[in-house]
Amino acid sequence: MKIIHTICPCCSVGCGVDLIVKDNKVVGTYPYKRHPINEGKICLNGKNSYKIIYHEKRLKKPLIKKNGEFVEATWDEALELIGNKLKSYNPEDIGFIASGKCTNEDNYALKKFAEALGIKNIGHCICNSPKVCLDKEIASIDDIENAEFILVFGDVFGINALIGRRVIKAKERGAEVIAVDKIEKEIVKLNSDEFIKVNDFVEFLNNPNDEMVKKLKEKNSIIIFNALTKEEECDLAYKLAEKTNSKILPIAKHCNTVGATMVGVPALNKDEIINLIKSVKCLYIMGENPALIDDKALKNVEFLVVQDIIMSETAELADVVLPSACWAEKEGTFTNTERKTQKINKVVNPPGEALEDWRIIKNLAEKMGIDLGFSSIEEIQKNF
Amino acid sequence: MDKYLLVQATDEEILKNAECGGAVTALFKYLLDKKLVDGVLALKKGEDIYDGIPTFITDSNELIKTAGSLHCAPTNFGKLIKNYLADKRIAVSVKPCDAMAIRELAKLKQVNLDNIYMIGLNCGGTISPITAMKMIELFYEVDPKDVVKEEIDKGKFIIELKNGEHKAIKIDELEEKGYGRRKNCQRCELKIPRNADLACGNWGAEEGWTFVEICSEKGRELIENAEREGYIKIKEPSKKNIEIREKIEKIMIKLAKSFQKKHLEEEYPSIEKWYEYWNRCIKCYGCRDACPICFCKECRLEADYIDENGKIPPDPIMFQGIRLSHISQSCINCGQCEDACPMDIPLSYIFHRMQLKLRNIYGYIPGVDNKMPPLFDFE
Repeated sequence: MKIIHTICPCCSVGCGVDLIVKDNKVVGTYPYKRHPINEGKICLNGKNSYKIIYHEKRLKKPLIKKNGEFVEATWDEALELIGNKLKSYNPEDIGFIASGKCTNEDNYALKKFAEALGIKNIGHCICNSPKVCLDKEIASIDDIENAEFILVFGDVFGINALIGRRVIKAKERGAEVIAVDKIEKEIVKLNSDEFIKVNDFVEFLNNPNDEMVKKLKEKNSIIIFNALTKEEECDLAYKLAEKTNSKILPIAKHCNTVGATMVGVPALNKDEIINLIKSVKCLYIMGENPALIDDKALKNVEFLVVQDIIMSETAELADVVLPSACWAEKEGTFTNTERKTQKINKVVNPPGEALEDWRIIKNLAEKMGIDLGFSSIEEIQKNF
Repeated sequence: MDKYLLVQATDEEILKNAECGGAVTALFKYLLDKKLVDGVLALKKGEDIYDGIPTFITDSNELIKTAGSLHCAPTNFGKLIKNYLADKRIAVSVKPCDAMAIRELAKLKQVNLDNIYMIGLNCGGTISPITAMKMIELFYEVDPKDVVKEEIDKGKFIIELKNGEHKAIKIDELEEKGYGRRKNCQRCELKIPRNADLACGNWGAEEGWTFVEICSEKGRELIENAEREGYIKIKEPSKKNIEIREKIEKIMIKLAKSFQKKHLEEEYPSIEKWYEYWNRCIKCYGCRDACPICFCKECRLEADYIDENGKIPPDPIMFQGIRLSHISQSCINCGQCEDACPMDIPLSYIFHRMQLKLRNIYGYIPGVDNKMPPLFDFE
């Protein structure tokens, strides 16, 4: 039995979690009490995070679709096929989708590969979640605890519980909490001093009531949001924070949504991702599942490659599927919502022939005669 | 052989790296070398002194990683043994609460004591790692990362810095300001783990020696054999040594009783406050999973009528109520539930208080008494 520290892959808070390994298998999670973000406390998702490692649909071998059926292939065959296809399209007809669920190193590799091929259609999917404005200063998770007035858009208790904990800690110290959301949730109502149900965040943010603005201005205050997803909504929240001299902390979607953005892969929301898919003939997807939002657009793509850990709804539609290592099976880093970069640890080997995302991309580039300038995690890290 | 001994490791490297006389590590080495156990479960230092990671060691050359004490690592080994090591013969370093958990689990047939050597460590309490770091920054005014060693002695929490400098502050003072030991540790009355096979520590020990109390026949044999095989040296403690140790224990127990009164009576949360706490519950099952004595294979808390499609917060009478009715008779006040709670619900207050109430009625001390918990005591 062995216990190994790593970072939770479930959301962007970046909690530490320990994995328990027995006979080379991850059998559970254990509290990582030394971790400054969550002190060993973890939500249900985090506790169950290890279960994905043994998901029944884990991919173990490259697959090529022949006559509508997937047939197992060697890495050589699969990469050869993809390489030839990529060469046969104009760069403007090719799209790459990266992922906030993959490491910084994986996202860097895909970005480099896109650059080498002259591909401009690249982005990672943030679905319905706040866009990260890298030019804006943001608060730290610790700042929440010291606030006197907290304005929350969305449910941080149920969705990002370890942020919720900080709100409660502030409340215990006397802070006032106002929660605003489109959906009424018991847990949010019970744990805030006031709950405001709105139909439209823009409308609310355009006319914030005077009393609230006064509190934001006069007190040590912070605005937190995971429910503001449209650009206009986020902009208005940032403006409100600037106007009232409040701190602000957007809670991003995935464990590395912020990292992927900082690496230089554009963050695309739902509509933008669909537009990207619609605008290309050949699409390469790493670790994302856009079929959940629009499978029609994907069906119109001529040649689709999906590199993922499981046979997802999107992978089902692909011409070639490549098996990748999940977070517990590779080294690398995640950057959390407060822009803190943390190392994850390889705890077990990937199943079958699955490989780390960055390595698959490097191998594919090599097959095409392209040198991406790295052959290890360390070499990638030197570049960003 | 008397039940009180001073013990010293014969291995120079152990003596250099371990606490006091290195008795614990030397005994582990003996057990592993002679193949009397499959492995040793202990804490090793991870990133720094605030990072204690449970580790299962099967090669005695690696034991040195576990030498020395870590007061900022509030783990409990009970559940790890039950879940992952129940099929092995092991030796384990136990704080009193670890030994209590293991004993309760043994009564419920979850672990087999015949397979376990419990080497006890006297314990004045543990400090949560992040609390310790904040406390050191705030009160000692040093970078917590510069601390290379910490110890608790004569009521003070003492740190040693990279440059060799020592700084000490009274634990009372730190605790008055909300820092210091975990709340449940403050209330804990079992400071010397006589519920283990041996109880080891520095209380009453001479420089370079570990004070050991023999607490079971198994413990006595272990000491005798380890001495015969040349792993340890033994000498008799003076009467004064024994008295010092007794005095420390008495003071600590008295202090614990006063904390029980403070936390569980004087400052005990009102019913309104409890509702506020329960309203935070996100039903993560963290308290259940961290509880070292919770063991049902099919948990009632996951039944449909309690889960209610994941509705949060759950009805406290059902959710926390079921846990309380299952666990409180055996609650060992280890604080793992409270540590695990992402919403900072002070769970061990209510569980410890309930156990003490049951103790008044049935006289049952979990983890210490050999009889079954009251509700399972059919005699």
